[in-house]
Amino acid sequence: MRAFLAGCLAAIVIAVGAYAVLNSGYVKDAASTYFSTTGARI
Amino acid sequence: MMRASVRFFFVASIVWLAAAFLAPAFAQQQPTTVNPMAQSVKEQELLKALKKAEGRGTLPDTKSQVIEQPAGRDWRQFHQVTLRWLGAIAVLGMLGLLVLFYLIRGMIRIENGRSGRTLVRFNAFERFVHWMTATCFIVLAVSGLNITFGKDLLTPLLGAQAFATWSQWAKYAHNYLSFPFTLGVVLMFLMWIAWNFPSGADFRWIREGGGIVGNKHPPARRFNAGQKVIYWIVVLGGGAVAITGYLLMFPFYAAAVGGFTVGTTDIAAVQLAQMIHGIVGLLFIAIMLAHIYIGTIGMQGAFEAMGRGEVDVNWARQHHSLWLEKQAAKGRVKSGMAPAE
Repeated sequence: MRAFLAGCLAAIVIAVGAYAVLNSGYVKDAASTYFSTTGARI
Repeated sequence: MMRASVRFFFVASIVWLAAAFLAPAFAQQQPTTVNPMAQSVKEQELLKALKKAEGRGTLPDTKSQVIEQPAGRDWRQFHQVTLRWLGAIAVLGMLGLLVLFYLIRGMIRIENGRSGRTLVRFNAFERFVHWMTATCFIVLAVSGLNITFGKDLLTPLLGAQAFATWSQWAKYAHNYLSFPFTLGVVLMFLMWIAWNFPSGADFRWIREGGGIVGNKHPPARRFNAGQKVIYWIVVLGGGAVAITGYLLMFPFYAAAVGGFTVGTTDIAAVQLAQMIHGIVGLLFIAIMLAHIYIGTIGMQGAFEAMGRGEVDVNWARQHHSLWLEKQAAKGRVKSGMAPAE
C-alpha cells in the first residue's frame, strides 16, 4: 500500500515538474537554440 | 424635323438588327460547357508523380509550401477507421477472452493451501516503480482511448462542452504523465533485465501451458516465460509509445545531435509516428488487461507479490519452484504462523 501511494505521489510530482519545466520561458528559449521546426539546419 | 425622325428610326433599326444577329455569334465564342474535372485530372497526375502538391513560399517553414498531401488521406482513413476497428477488436476481444477463460478455468488456486511461511518477491523499490508506472499507464490508457473513441462514445453522454473540457484535461494528463511512465519503463528495464533473458526452463514452461492451461506446474525461475514476454512488451512497447509520443508532443522539432537527427520535421514521419503510437498503444492496453487479470482475480496469491511484496512458499513452489529453491538455499524463507483460512 505504501509503495502504491509513493508511486502515485511520485508520478504526480514528476508530471507537475515536467509541466512547470516545459512551460517555463527558459526551456522554450533553449529549445529554439537547438531545435529547428522549419527543416532548416541550426 | 420629320426627316430627322425617319433617319433616327432607320439608324436605330440597323443597330438593333446588327445586335440581334451578332449576339449569338459572340455567345458562341464563350465556353458553353464547363469541365470541372479537367483541372483535377491534371492535379491527380501531378500528385501521382510527386506524392504531394508543393508550391513556393517566402516563409522559412517549408511545410507551409505543401498544398496537398494525398498520404494525409490514408492517414486520416487509418486513424478514423482502421485504428478504431483494430482497437475495438483488440481490447474487447481480450476482455471477452478473459471472461471466457475465467468462466472455464476460474481462479488458479494454491493447490496445497497457504503454508504460512513467506518470502520476499519484490522489494519496496521494485513495487514503487511498478505502481508508479502502472498508475500512469492506466491514466495514459484511458486518456488515449478517449482520443480514439471518446468523441463518438462520450459526446452523446456528456454533451459537446463537457466532453471538450474532459478531453482537454485528459490530454494534459496524457502529455505530462508520460514522463513518470517513461522513467518507470526505463527503471523496470534496468532493474529486471537480469532475470528476463530466455532460458531452457522457458521452453518447458511454454510446452506445458505454464500451469495456466492444464494442471501441470512447470518449474520456473524468478520470472516464467509468460512474465518475460510481458517484461519485453513493456520495455519495447513502452519504449515505442514513449518515442513516438514525444515526436507527437513536440511535432516538427528536430535537432542534429552528435551526427544524428533527433526528431523530425517531415509530415509523413509525424503521421507514421501517430500510427505506430496508436497501434502499439491499443495492443499494449489489450495485453495489460491480461496482465491485470492474472495478477488479481486470475491467480490466488499473485497480487500479494506486488501488494505487500511477499508471497506464500506454496505459491512460490507451485509457480516459481526454481526461484524458491535458490531463495531457500540463501535462507530467505521466513517462518511464520499458519494462516487462519
